[in-house]
Amino acid sequence: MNKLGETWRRVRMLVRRDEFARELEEEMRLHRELKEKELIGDGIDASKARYAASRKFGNAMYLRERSAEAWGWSWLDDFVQDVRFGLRMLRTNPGFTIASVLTLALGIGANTAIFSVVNAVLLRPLPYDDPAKLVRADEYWPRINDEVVPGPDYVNWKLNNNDFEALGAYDSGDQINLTSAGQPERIESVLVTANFLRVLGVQPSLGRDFLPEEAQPGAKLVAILSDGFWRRKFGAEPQILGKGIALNGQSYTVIGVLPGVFRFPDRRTNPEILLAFQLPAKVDWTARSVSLTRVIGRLKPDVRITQANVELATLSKRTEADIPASFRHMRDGMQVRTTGLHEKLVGDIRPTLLILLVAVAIVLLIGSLNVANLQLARASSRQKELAVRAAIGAGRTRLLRQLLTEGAVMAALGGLGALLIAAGGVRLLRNYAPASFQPTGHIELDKWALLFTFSITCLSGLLFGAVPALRASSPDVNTDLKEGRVAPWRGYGQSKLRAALVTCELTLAVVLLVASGLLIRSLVLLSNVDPGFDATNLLTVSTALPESKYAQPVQRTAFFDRVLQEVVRLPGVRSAALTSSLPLTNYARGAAVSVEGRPDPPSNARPLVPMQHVSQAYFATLRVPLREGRVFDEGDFTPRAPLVVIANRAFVQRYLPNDDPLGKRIHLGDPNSSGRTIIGVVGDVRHVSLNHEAEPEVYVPYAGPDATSTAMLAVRTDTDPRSLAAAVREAVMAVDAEQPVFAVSTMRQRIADSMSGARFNARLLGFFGFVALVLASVGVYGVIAYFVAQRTHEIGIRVALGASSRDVVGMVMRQGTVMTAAGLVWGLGGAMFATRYLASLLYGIGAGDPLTIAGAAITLGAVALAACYLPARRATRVDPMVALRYE
Amino acid sequence: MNREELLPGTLHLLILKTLARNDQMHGYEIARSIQQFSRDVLQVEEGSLYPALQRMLIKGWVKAEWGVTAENRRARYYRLTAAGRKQFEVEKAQFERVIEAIARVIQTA
Repeated sequence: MNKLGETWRRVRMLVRRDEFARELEEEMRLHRELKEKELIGDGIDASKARYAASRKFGNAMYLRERSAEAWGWSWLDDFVQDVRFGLRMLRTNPGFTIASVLTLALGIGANTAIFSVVNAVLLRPLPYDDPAKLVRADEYWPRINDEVVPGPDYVNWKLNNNDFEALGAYDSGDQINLTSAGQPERIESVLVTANFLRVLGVQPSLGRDFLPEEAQPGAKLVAILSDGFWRRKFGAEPQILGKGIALNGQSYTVIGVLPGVFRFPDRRTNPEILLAFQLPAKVDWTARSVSLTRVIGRLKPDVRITQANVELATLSKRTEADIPASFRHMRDGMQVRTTGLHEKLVGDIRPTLLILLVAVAIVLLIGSLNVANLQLARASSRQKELAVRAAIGAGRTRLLRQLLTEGAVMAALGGLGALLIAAGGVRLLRNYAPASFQPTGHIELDKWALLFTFSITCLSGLLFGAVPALRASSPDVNTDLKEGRVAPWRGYGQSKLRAALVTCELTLAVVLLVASGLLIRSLVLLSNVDPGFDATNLLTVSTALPESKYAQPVQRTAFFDRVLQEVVRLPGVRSAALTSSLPLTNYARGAAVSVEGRPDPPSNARPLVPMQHVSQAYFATLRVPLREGRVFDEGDFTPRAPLVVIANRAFVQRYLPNDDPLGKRIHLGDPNSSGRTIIGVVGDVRHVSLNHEAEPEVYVPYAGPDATSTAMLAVRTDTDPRSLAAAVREAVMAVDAEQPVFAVSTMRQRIADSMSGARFNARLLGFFGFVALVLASVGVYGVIAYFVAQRTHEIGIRVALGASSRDVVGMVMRQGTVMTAAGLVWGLGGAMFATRYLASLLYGIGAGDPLTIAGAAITLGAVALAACYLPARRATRVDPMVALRYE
Repeated sequence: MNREELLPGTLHLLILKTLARNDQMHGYEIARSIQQFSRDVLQVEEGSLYPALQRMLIKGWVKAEWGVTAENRRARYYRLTAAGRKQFEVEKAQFERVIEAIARVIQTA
């Protein structure tokens, strides 16, 4: 209780400082006068009495200070004084201040911006209940190189597991046609099991979750909308609950709306609508169609992931006997992989983000070293001032405190600037981040980013205050107060330190330059890859025909035939073609293939190759070169035409290496089905992605039973393909008004999008490398200029004794070259070591690419030497008379 | 006049007692009172008096008020508070304990 009162009194005093000082003064004056009277009364002479009284009283100012000290606020006074002084010092040295504050602001700001991104993408926990317990359970099937969990496997797991509180599944994302509410639209949907949202711990913000009955085959059709979709399409009306919407020609009742912050736990899809996944209740491998799902589960408390993984693997093994033969061979070598959900979603982005974080930290480090150098230079010029302070009585602690405060002030200014730069940087990153950065929530300057900024600012404040403080807080008062400039050899130790700091900067800059060079070259190599076809002026659209309307292949073929006819008639269209999947889309159905006349491998080892269903004009439209034989013609599309197939070069090289492929027959799918004759060989096309080598693949005519319901149109135009997008869409709707097209894009755009990640990395790291180069060369310049200034005396003597300009330049350059060489050597060593972490981001070159390394070294070396040369030139203009004058 | 060093920490005790004896006093009066009662043995240095008074103000053992002296001069008068009275008892007991201990050490041959 007493303490409280005490604190209260102290605080009150703080507010009434001036009044307090005056009162104390008056009090003591009275005391002194009374004392004086007493002494006079004792018989001492009047004038002597006054003097005696004063002397007894002691140093009034000191007394006042000691009294004030009792209240405990003297540290505040000192602090304010130091801050004011620090600000004044910064004002009188504008060049130094601006350079330091700017460098700090840039460095800290950039780091905060990158950190915000890392936080949003990597660090923030997922927006689900207790996300640490959520896992993805996958089966990796090496034969199709994908992770899927067939429905029966999921049901098996769900019914027989002990380690999970719940297991939910969803299908791998699909798109359906929404035909009610305005223009027909293609929206992304996902089928989820009834317990899916419960597994995540998410509840609809409006309405309700699925009921288990709604997931039975034959149940009433219901749907849950995403928040964004609800707002966009239905104006956020609560009355949507209970209403029906038409999807793929069927009516679904809306039962709920998801919360706005919900994000679907899969990077490949962000659905606008959730539908109930109707899976059989028992493990059934013999059903007509087997769904391929992805599984998310919530572990029971105390169950570890490895344990759960083993259990699931055991369960999967147990059902093997029930799996039909055709499926079993595809499943060969299957592995069960259970990973934490967070890890699954962000695991592959982590290397990129960490690399960015390290790169920007390096930039900050280089900048900090520069500021430290500046501080050292200034500290040595303040020697006299500090000596004076020490002479009038400042203790070492006091001087230290003052210098630290000055450092803190500068860091604080830098920190404020950093916030501004970080805000701008975050906005930039948010707009230009590649699609692969799927953040949890917004990328923004949240409280963690601010905390981050604050801590780094404090750290740098401490550092930059400490550097000069330690050097200068014990001044040699005697020497420093002497007249004249700094004694030549006193700063020798310091200049070694400064040179060492700059060498560090050069090292770091080399590493950064090599890294950015590698990424830039990767990007260039990537953009020069030949995709195997002509990607200019190619409009691409996708469309999917619903089963309900287009159950027969004949209907589908008819639809697309008419669409192609309409499109080709449009002005500006050179040609148009159809395919089940376009190049660079990484989406293709595969078929097991066997070559007639070749020994058939045992049936569970027949290779799977992607198979495209294409229209007649496909190769001409895409300009895929024909190597042998012919392309499809009209005759191949007639109902009773002989079955034909076109292979690509990779296929021929792999499976028919020493034969003439034309005329050979291959069997696709069931080995007992009729074979197809190879009538032509075309060039390789990159189907998966630009940085993925072309694989063997085959093309069959889009006809008969091979008429797929999903297809992509490629339209070769005369001019900008985008100008024809609307016309093509209308042409499709002219054939079927309810049929939406989606993924309208140009091939060029797709290619650019596929490189967006590489481009982002190259740009960002290139920027950092450039900044590092500039900062490091500024550092070099500073040190060499200081070197020249220190040696002015010596240079003057040399010139007076007959040294030529070349000799002087040589002397300075030698100093600079040693420093640069050391930095380069260390830097190259460091680069060799560090760039191996970049390997996953590179294309076409290795992490030790000699060309890039050499380029980086030469660039930095040249710039650094140029930075040395400027002060060297100035050194030659030293007038020996002036230099020698001051001893 | 000779000045003997005050045992450290006893200044508070002296001030407290002085104020206990008198309703209110200002700084000079306190110093005079201590000097007189100790028969000039203890002379409080002004340099220690005022800091000590500040400390006691902070701790809430005394409170201060501006008033007028007999000669019509403005002066700051200090009074003991209830907490101060309590503190006096505490410090007095402590002091007596210490003195007793020292005496025992000295007297024992």
